[in-house]
This record gives sequence, C-alpha cells and structure tokens, in this order.
Amino acid sequence: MKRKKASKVRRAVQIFFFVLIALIAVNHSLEEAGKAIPLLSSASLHALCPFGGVVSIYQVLAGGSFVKKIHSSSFVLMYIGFALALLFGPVFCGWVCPLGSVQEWIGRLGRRILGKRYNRLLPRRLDGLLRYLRYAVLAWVLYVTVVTGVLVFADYDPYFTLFNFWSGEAALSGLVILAAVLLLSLVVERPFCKYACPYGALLGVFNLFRIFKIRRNASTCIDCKACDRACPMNIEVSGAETVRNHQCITCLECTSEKACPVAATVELSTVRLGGVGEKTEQEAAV
Amino acid sequence: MKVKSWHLAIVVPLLIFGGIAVSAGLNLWQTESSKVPVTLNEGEFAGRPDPGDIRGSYSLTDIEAAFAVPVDVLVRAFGLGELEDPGAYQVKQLEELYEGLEEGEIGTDSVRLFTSLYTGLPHTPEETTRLPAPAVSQLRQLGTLTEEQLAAAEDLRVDISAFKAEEGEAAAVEADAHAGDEERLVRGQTTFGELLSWGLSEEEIEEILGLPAGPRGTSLRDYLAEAGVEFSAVKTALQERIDALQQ
Repeated sequence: MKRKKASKVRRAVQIFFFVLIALIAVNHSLEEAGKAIPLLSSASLHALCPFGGVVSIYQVLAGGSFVKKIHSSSFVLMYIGFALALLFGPVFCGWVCPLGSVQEWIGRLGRRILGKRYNRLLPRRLDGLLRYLRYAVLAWVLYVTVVTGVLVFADYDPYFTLFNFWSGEAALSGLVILAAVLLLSLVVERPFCKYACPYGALLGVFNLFRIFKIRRNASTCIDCKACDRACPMNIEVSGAETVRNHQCITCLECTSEKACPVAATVELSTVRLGGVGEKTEQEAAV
Repeated sequence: MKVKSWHLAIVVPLLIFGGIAVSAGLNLWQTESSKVPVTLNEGEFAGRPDPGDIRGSYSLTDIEAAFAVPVDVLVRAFGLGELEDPGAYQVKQLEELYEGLEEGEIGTDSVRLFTSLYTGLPHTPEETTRLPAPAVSQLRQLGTLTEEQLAAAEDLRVDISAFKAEEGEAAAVEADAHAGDEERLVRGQTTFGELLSWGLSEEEIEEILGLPAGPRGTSLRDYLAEAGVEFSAVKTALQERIDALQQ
C-alpha cells in the first residue's frame, strides 16, 4: 500500500508541472491573440527553461546580454536547477521535466506491449556508448549558441516543440525529433533523457558529488535485483553501495519505498547505510 | 539523513517556487525582454543602441523610445495602415503579415535594417531581409543616406501593395514619395523625425525655429515649450516649407 502511495506522489508532482507548463504555453499563444487567461503567467517557454540560462552563460559573461529570447528568469531557474542537483542530483529530470514525464507515460504503454523486453532491447555495450552522446549534444548546443548568439537548439528541441506544435513557432526538424522520441518511448524508457538531452547531461555530472545519494545497504540486501529492474535508466543499483552513475534521475523507483522489498536497504540518504566501505557501482563491478 | 518521496514532493516545488518568489522580490525575475537594446561596444557609435538587438517582441513604441524613430514613420514604412494602437504593434507580427513574399522576408530584421539606415547606426542585414517599398521611399525622403546606401536599399525593395494589415482596418498602402501627403500637417505632436522624413533638412528646421533641431523622437510642442518658444510662431513657416517641398 505504501509503495503505491510513493509512486503516486512523484506522478502527482509530474502531472502538476506538466499541466502548469502546458497552461502557460497555451496562455502565451492566447496572449498573442489578445485573449490571455488572467492571473496565469503567459511567459514564453524560453523564459521558463533553465537550460536557456546555461546556453546564455557565455554571452552574459562576454557581452552582458542574454541570448535572444532568453531572459533573467531562465538564469534564476538555472540556479534553482543547480541547487536542486547539488542536493539531490538531477531531480529536475525525474520529477519536474514535462518531456521526461511524457516519455515515461508513453513508456507505460510500451511496457504493456513488450513486457520484460521493454527497455532492454539495445545491446548493453552499444547502449552504454550511446549514453555519452548527450555530452556531444551539450557541447554542440553550447558551441552553436556561442557562435551565432541565437537559440539554434530550439529548432531541434522536442521539449520546446511539445508545447509549441500548434503555434507555428515549432520547426519541422523539432516536430520530426519529437515524433521520433515519442515513438521510441514505446521501446526504450526516456530515450531523449538517456541519449540526447543536453540539460540532463549537465545535471548528470552532479551525481558525482551530490549531497543526498542513492545508497544501498549491502548487509541487508538480498540481491534480488529488483532495484536494477525498476530503474528506468538501466543503472545497476545492486552492484554498488552508492549510486554515482551520471544517468541517475533520482526518481526513487529503486528504493525501499518502491521496488526494493527489504526495508531501509536502498534509500536516498546523506550517510552510508550499514555495511563496510563505500563502493560505487563501477568499483563493485571491478 | 534520509529523504523519502513525499519529502521531495514538498522540497522540489518549494525550492522552485520559493526561488522564483525571492528573485521576483529582488526584481530579478523577468520573463520578457527589457526592451532596452544593448549598446554598441566599438567604433564611432560606441555607447549608442544597437539596431541588431531589436527583438521580435519589441513594439513600435519600444523602437521609438530606444532609437527615436517615430511610430508614425514605422507605420508608414511598413505599410501598417490605420492600426487601432500602432504603438503596441510588435515587430514579429510583420513576418505573419508579409508571409508568402515571392522572395526574401519582411520581418524583424527588416525593422533592424530600416532603423539602422534611418538613424545612421550600423547593422548588417541577413541575406533574406527585404524592405517594403514605402520604407525605401521614406529613407530617400530622409535625405541623409548616401547614394550607395540608397542603391543598396533599392535592391532590397519589395512591392507590398498586395498585402493587407492584420487588423483589417486599412490596407497596407504602397506609400511612394507622395503617399500620405495629406497627412503632412505640422501639429504640436509632430516630431522632429517626422519633419526630417518629410524632406526638411536639419539646417532648414534650425533656420525656422531659431534653435538647434531637437531629438528625432521629441514633439515640436514639448521641445519649443521647454525652449520658451510659442509653437504657433513657427507652425506656419514650417508648414509652408513642407508644402513647397511637395510641389
């Protein structure tokens, strides 16, 4: 009963942020038509994107201005995102990002269709290599934004497209990528987050030194691998005492609140849970 | 210290909305452009506003405030007809208005280019940028552009007579050199920019006023009142000179 409740808590937060962003995006379109809903923000999606702050850092430092379409709100959200990541890792990805949520919801359908094969179709080696692709995307986005001073990524960004496909601001390339991401979500859980999201790549780095970490108590672990099976990002939680994988999104699906059948064995914590020395999943694999 | 799902469900929204509230309290939460363009860093125009920083969200009033290009001039240059509130018209709306041009685009960069030529500030347009025919006519009348600049503007000239203003109150007009002649009435609200766009030179204005010409965006009445000169004392002379230019 408690496990179901824990799952519902995260879903409720995801739905809240999805609905909020969708309403603001619609209100932005309505405002341009002179019919905005009162008391609801009509900010552009760019103004509410923390990644907009990240791509603007160079221009702010070099020229004292934001990249076109980016405002100080993006910077504020960027700082908030970093603060959250420093505490809990990429919790923004697992709890807030509406594109991540949509992929997850479509994934539930994929899970019904494919059963145990869902999210396990790619060869492990290839999958592992592709996980670093998002750092290449991050480098490319930062480079082209610095060179052009324009939000080039907006034309390819499935998140922007998801909330602008009706507005005429969405580019064909963005629509194609969004469709591909949604279709792939039927086979792979959170494909964009895993392989292409530049913001997720950056937040993922915080997993190395975040304050609250996913920790496993080796002395009480029964090695059932339930945590591994539950992880949407395919992280081998059972192989480590502290998860420092750059792909962890702090969804807490692996914890004793949800997948782990033993109480107080996998938890989000500041301190090591029982056992001997602290090992990361990489160290444990050696 | 251990954290459960419900802790995160409280802490995450709290940090996000709390952070937004604090930044709003410190006046750091801006979701719209300040409408103050960045200034040029180098060259003889260092410190002046950069036309290249005009954004699609700028209204015509924003451009008048930043670059002293009068709203009336922009309305005529971009064939916007009789809008209900021309000052509130956003530059990005031009792209929609002139969607379907056979060649090139009339949009935000066209306004940047027009503003640049009107004010003499530098801007390099995009390859696809075009100028409506009335805009080129206005620039010609301004009398401050070199032959080379006028030739370059002519190369970008596009006939817009087939398009109508979105508000539908009036058709966008092909404002050639004589279009809108009937509007060339000197009034208190007339700005120095308008006088210049109607063909008067700065020297002629100064000769009639007996004062240095004011900033382009300043109205005659405000400027003269500050200088202690009656508007009625110069109105007729200005009007006669403008009428003479039209003949």
